[in-house]
Amino acid sequence: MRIRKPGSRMKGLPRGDQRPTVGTDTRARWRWLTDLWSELLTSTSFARRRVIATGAVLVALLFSLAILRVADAHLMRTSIMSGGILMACLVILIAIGLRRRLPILPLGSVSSWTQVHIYTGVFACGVYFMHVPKIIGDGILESTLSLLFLFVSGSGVYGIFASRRLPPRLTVIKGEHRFDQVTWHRNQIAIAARDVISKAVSNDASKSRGVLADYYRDVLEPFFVSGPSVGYLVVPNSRRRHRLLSGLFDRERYLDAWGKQIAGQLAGLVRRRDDLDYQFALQARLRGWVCLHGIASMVLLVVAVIHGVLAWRFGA
Amino acid sequence: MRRDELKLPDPPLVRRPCDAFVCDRQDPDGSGSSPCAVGPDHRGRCPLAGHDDTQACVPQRTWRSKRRRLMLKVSLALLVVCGLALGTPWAPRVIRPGELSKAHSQILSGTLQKDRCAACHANVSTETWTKQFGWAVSMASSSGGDAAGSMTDRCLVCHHRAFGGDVQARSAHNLSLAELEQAHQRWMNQSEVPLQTVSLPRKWMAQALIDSSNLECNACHQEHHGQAADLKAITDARCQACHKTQFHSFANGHPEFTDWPSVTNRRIRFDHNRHAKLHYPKQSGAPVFDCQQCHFDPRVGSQGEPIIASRPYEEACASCHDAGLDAISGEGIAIWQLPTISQQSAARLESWPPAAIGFPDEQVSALTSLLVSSSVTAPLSRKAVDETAGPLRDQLIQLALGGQRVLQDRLMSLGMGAQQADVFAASLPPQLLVEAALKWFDVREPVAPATDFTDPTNVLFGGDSESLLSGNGGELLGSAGSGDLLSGGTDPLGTDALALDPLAANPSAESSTDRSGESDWANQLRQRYAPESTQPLGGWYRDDVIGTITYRSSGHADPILVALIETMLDQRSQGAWAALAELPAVKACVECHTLGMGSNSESHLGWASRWRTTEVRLGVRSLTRFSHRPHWNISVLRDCRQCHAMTGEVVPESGDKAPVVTVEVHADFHALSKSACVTCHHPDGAGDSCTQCHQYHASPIRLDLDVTEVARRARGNTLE
Repeated sequence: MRIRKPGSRMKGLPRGDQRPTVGTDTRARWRWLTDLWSELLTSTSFARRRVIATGAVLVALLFSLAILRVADAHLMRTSIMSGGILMACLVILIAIGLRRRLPILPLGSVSSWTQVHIYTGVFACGVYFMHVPKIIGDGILESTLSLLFLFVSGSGVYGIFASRRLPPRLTVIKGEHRFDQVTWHRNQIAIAARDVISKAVSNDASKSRGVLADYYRDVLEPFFVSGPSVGYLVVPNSRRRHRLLSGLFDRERYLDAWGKQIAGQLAGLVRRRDDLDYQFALQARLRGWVCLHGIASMVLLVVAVIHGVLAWRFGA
Repeated sequence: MRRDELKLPDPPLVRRPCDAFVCDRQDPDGSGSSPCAVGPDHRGRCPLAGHDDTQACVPQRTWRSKRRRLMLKVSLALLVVCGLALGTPWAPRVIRPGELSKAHSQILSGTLQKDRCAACHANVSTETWTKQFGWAVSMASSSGGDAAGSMTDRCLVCHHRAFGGDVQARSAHNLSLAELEQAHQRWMNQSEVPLQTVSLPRKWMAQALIDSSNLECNACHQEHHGQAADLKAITDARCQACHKTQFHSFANGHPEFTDWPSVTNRRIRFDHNRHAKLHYPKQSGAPVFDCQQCHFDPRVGSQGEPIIASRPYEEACASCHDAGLDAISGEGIAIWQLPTISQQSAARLESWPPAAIGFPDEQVSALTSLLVSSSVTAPLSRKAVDETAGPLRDQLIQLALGGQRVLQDRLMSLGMGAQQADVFAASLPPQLLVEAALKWFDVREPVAPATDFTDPTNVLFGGDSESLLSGNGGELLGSAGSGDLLSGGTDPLGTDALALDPLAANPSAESSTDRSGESDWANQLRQRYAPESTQPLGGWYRDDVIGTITYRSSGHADPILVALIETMLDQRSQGAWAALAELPAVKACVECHTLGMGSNSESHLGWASRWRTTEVRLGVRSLTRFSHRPHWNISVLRDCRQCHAMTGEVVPESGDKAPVVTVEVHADFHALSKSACVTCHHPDGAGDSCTQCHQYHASPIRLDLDVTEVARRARGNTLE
């Protein structure tokens, strides 16, 4: 994923220092604005795509609003119209799941589908507010539908945020581990730690074997053997890592050279295990979000269809 | 790699990343290779299981498999929930989109939940919800217009009274297309400012999308938005959806008022200018002409309408008008009056009071004629009068024998309403009729010798009753306290008249006069009956001197007088009304309670159309409403003249320039202009939505009613 550094200039756009200052004549200001607009339209950057897509959504929303207002002014059932638009949006939004499950069909790139998914979702949120008389509807079915829509919309917004923030955080961590193999990696680290401490204990010449054995038995072994806590999975942080490493470094004054080497190896395993847990937490968050968003979307579609049929039958 | 980091084995190679299971081998040797080459199968079984159990592993589910299983579980749960929610009797509660409005929920509160839906939705039956998955069957049927009727039909089951039938209910404003076109033309003709014409696309859409002759109730009234929802709420744009001419706002484009306040429900003819400039200043102490004195209802609460058409007579008018009404009602109205007939005519009758025999009258009083013969043709010939005497005698005897029931039937046969006839008959004591019949027609009574009625000194029967009551009558009857008539030697009743009066010469009276020692009260009672002194509150009495049974009204809104007037107005005889209208008491009623100025030549139907005793809206289906309440809270507007400015022109009471006070026009006020309202009624002020002043449903009074029919309907409420 392309990451734009803060303060960097979008490709092809006029430089900020070229922006007309106060006192510049109107013609220069107009020229700067037209240059900016033409750059937005002609450049192939991410910014251009975002501007065009956002503009298209705004135009579509304004057009829908105008149509619905005219229809309302002519005593038409605008809720049927806006409900139909929402249903079409839901189908388009659900279709991205089919696209992912049918990669062999020439249906366009997933990236394009994701863009369509995002902006269709934004458009659907706008139409939703035109459709409902209040944010959360009355009645069991309609309030459930409202809450589902708001939950799916909220999770979609979080998905946009997460898909842009979590991958960079994953890439800064060393190693790429498959989610399904995290347990295998965790076991390998635990085995390696056990081997290291066994080697330390077996060295009768070292005076520091008792110190390391006690620390491993009391602190490190539970850490290596068990998985991360739920709190860590929700909010992964470095407090546990610092606590364990501080314990090792605090015991260095009782260790000889052999013991310090063993402690350094244990510290390396602690770092690798913490990095692994950090990756696991972020990956679980991403995968959990996708799973929750997908399931909620499916339920939303079912409830929306029921609502639509009932509205068509009883409200027409 | 840091110096203190160990080399860890590479993870096992995953050949089938989309599999449901992954090998769980711990790989103790750290080689990174699995002893089995193929890995677990799709059921999660290790290929080494059964061959080398020591090497076999327990395959773990992949994330993908876990997610699929979760999706499957959720789908099954959703299916169960939907089945329970929609296929059971809970379905109506689940699918109900919201609470009903307060009125509808109160009406349906006593019904079962499953029956509530069927009350309005024709495509739901009570049985549908009781069957498993019955809703699906219901879905398959047609969605509307089935045998049970549409939703609008179900609305009209309860609301049909307000709209005058199904056709009227479905048409725009509950008016026919002809009425709508007529209203549109009236607007176009009245508007001085050209109205903005709707743009072509909107006009096309209005015509294409809206069938103004077949509108459904739910086009405007949306249910299931909670108890606090306003079913009548509608936007201005929707209000103008069907209109051929549309405008932007009240201030910008709304037609100017041309005759507002145009339709009123006033019931009296009241000249504001004349009262303010002439009548009030003449009063002692010169009271201030205050609008609130007559139009403010002090009993209204904080939410009610503070301004009324007029306060009751007793509160607003009695202080000035009671004295005049008492003076007018003093004469009374002779309901039955014996005409004077000739000797020959009297001889043909079984009996006739000798005092009423003489030079014959040429007419019978209008009321007597109406009660006896059901018709009045004035003036009557002497022959007709003679022919009336017999039926009159018979009727009085029948009434004396039959009492109130006979009188009630007779009044109803003349067209008087049942309620009014009841009041009329109940007010007349039958004993009065019995005594009259005995006194006048009983032949066993001693009869005094006939009097020469041609003698001009016979003032009692030499003229008619009107001449007695008016003109010299004032001298004769005068007031009770005048003294001349009832005391002293100048009293005609005490000298010539009573001396010659055969009715006064009954045995008891004669014997009593012979008693020298009798007290003075008996002598006073033998004098001619004086209702002015004994019946100031009104009622019936008999006058044997002139042979009448007379009713003396009890002041304002006397029910007998009202019944007589309205019965006369309903009669299809100009003569009956003309005769009644000449009576001073009736004149006093008509003077205020007929809107518009009439003339003597006007037919009784014309009078009937203008006669008002109740506050009704006549012949107009109004789409406009107004409440003084919100305006009353503004101190400046408590001065009624801010909006209702009088013209200040005092015109004569009669003649061509008389003030035109009709149902439609209030001529003594300047017309209210739109600019007076626009000052406050704009979007940032008091609001300018259409529904603030307009109602979609025209008031249910029919346009095609005849004015006399409307007047009769209005009079039906008089005694309520």
